[in-house]
Amino acid sequence: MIATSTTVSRTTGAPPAICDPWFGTINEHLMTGRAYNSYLTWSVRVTGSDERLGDLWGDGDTAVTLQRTAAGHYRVGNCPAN
Amino acid sequence: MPKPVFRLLPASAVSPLLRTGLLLLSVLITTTPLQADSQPLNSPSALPALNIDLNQTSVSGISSGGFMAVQLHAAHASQIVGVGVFAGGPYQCAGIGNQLTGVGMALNVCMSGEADAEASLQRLADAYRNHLIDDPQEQRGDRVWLYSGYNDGVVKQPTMDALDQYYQQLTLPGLVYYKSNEDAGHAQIVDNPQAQDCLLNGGDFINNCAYDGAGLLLQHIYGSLKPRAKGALKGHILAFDQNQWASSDAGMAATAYLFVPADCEHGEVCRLHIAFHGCLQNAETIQDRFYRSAGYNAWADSNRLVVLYPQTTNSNGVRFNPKGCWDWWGYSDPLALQADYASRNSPQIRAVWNMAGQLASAFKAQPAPAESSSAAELPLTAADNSDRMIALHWPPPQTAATTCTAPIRPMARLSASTATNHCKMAAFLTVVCNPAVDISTSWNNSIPVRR
Repeated sequence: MIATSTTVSRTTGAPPAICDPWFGTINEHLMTGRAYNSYLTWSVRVTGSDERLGDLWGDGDTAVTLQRTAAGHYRVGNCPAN
Repeated sequence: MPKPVFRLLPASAVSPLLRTGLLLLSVLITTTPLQADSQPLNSPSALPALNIDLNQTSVSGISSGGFMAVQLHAAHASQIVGVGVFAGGPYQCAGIGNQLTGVGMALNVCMSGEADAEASLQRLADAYRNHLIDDPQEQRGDRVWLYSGYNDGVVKQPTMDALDQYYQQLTLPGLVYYKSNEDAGHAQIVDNPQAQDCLLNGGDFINNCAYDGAGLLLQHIYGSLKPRAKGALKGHILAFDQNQWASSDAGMAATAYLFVPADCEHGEVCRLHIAFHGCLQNAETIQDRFYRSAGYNAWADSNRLVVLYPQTTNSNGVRFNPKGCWDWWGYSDPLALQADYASRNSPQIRAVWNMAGQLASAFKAQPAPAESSSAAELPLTAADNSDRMIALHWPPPQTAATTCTAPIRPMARLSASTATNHCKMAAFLTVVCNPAVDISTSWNNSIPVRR
């Protein structure tokens, strides 16, 4: 027989809204199209937001998190806490 | 004792001479005896022979280590009983090409959340047909614990969803637990206020989410364990010579690490857990932080678990692996058209499994416990919950249970993938709930087992 005096319980729920982060080096962001070389400003820029990530060819190993805010549009930053 | 401070600089920022100096410095740091929590760490020595039952071995890993854990599980499924993965992906996600096509697949498919469970299952079947791995049927009944933070910016969550689908096809219903509803970044998830913030992608990839990932995965695999040790551990960390086990072209470091509980050192029967670090997490890069702070040792100390921490090395050579990742795309077989990185014969899997064999070489089989005809009830706890799963744990039966008189009986308002005989082979069950919001569920608090 199963004991019935007490129970254990947990609550499930729908997943929270998802932020869409992409972490990698500047070189990796360049390789995957999340960043681009701006020869006009001699810098690497974020695709969509045009934020500056670093110098052209100098900062490729620097790691940074981008958030995708729409298709083909990224900006610098970690996801906010819930 | 303060931790040695050593920061890797971008390769382009230092001269070759300085890089050589830094490399030598890193080797010095990683091979200098360090202070264990309670006892001094030995200088690199031979891997000991212990009284370990290899047929109770489990494996886990984070990121590239998660991919490697899945590969090792596939290669040696006949002896591995469970696997835990933080932010990894399914078997041979990067395909069976050369290391260049593999890198492309890794970056653009696997890490970008485009992994395909069916393709991985097909590669698994092909590998078995070619006698490269154990029979995938051996994975049936194995316990699988998966974690993916939805802020993971390195291995996107759909790839872990694919790993969940992959294992749902391989093992039994209720034996896969997948936690995907926390806001963590890409990391080994720990319950340690001294670790970095839960949301981060980067740093040492060990994040404090007030969530004991290592403890939960070990209990999912082995059933309820004794509480993790607090304060100074009785066991100790051993640095051993990995060169004895890994060929020089395997991409593995000269020194690796082992946590040995005191009981195991004194000859008691123990079990083995193999924990793979991720990229940028080997001892060359973050010194002792993974093998001390990933969360395993305190549980191992009180539960007769030996933890093996194999180590990669960073390489800018032909086996291009500057971040010290485990091989899940083919760098350790760089000249092959079809790189062998995921079979029993691949350099890293062969090395790690030979280490496991050495550790278990002093195993003495124990007589089976006597069976009893009496019925018993085992206390039940809800260990964890996800968006659609609840993990229930109970202590493993002390004697061989042959039948459960009843399955766990969930209360109304949910459909459960319960099966009547799970209690004889495992000490946990995952109950999958309807995808409705805020289902509160209750279970009676014991599992009757008839022997």
